[in-house]
Amino acid sequence: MNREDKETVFIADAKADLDEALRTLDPAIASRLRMARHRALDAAAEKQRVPWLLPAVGFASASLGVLALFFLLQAPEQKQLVSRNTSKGRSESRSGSLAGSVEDLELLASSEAIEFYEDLEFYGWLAEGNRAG
Amino acid sequence: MLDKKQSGELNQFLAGVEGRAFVIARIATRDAEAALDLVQDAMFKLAQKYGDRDESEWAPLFHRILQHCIRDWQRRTWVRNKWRTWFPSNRDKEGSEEKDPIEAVPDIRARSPLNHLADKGTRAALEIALHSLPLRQRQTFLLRAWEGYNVAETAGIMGCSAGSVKTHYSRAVRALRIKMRAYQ
Repeated sequence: MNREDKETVFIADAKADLDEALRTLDPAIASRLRMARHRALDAAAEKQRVPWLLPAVGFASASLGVLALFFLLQAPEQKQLVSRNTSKGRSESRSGSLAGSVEDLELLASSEAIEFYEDLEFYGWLAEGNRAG
Repeated sequence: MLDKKQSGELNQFLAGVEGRAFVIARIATRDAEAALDLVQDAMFKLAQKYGDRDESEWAPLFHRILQHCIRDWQRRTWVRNKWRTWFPSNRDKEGSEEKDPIEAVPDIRARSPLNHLADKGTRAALEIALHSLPLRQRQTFLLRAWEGYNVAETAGIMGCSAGSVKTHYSRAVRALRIKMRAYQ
């Protein structure tokens, strides 16, 4: 047998050993794996059942959005009342904060993206793993 | 949306891979309890994040998640061990009552004259040899040789290039053959 043949035989033997390890798995372990699987599927189904909550979440988001908009529109008016002679720099910083507030508003109002934001940690975890690899 | 049909298919898929995933995790951790936790984590993540994906995507996604879970576990274990080295607790100083996992590993040289015990010894030796490989080599060997993924698929699961897969695989096979010489 040449080197390649020996390697092929070795890999086949290793595969057979691993298959045997799987075949002779402790029944108690197999049972716990089965339970873990059912728990995972139940949890996923539970998560999928939550959509009836989505209208409520959407309503809450919309309310938050309206509230944020209300304060956003109120704030500049109040500032104008306090000092009418504001410098140019100040007005620029206010427009900067306005832009930031608009971004926050988008985040608050987008109900369809809620799941994505909830899963951000998971996607970050996957990406970090890939970078490490 | 995960409908009833999809849930049934996912159940069937997980039932088919859970045993192999457990063996892979046990080889990585040398600890059945930790391996069970890792497989459970991987099943939870697949069901919750990707349960509604196409069935053909589940296998590579599941292995990818499992490999990440194993890597995370190894990092945590490494940090915990470092912490224990720097700040040993009283229990560590007096000698832990917990069993040393190394002691629980069967002695590969202690072969019984009975054939089935010899086979068990060979399997245990293979698991120890696989455990001693660097993480990427072990992953590559198990995905390629046992799970039957080709180079491109393995590269996709591991998030590396096909060239890296080939290098890791050939190094793994060479190292394993040396470690298993006594059993060949």
